[in-house]
Amino acid sequence: MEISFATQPSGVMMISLVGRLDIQGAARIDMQFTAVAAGNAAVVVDMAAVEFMASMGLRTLLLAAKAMRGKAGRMVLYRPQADVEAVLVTSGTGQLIPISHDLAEAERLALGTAAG
Amino acid sequence: MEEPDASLAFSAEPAALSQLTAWTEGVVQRLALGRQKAYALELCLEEMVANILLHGQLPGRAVQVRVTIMADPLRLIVEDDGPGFDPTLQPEAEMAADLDNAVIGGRGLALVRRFSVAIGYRREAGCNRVEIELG
Repeated sequence: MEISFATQPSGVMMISLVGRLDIQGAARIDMQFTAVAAGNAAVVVDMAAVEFMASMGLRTLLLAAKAMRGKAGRMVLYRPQADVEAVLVTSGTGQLIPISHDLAEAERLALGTAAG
Repeated sequence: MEEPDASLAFSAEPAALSQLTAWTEGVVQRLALGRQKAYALELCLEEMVANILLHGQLPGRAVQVRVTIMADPLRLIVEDDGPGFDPTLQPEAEMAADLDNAVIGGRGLALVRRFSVAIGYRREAGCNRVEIELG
């Protein structure tokens, strides 16, 4: 499991995850993921290269999103693979952290500028 | 007695996880499982093992786990000699309406229910035996 992050021209912090967000993967990135998320008001998490995720990965995402929420920040999950998205949706996590497959929309949602 | 297509025994310790992941990937390839079935199998296995690691430990000795996979129809059997735990009796965790009220954790068994066809449990000879049908 690898994690990298970079500020986008829009001002959004993009966190990219690569690999298996399983028990071991979650343990590997937990601290850094939560710290980067909590230190930014608008975060988009690029999930495209996450091949596997179960409840321990959901825990990682929810912990960080809750930490952001405490500071009025917003997290958006960007382009998860189909199986990973099924885990997000069936667990109800997709209702707590928005999912988008469009980068511009993901950034707008994270920045809180999504037009109606 | 039906022959298992694959079986692995290990101690319930975090150090066993790498071996378990590599073994599972090997079984998925050997049985030529499709993407969805492979994902369901890996998800159910991860949730059952996480449950044992986090909640099924005993003081003083490592709990022993045996994982068995049957191919046709696909099913996963997880046995452990830890404290009795029947996953079929656990209530569904309530879904929070927003992040402020969201409880972290407690989603594993719900995922197993959603990604499987049926879950059976029995306690025999001091062991938990969970059989998960994956269709």
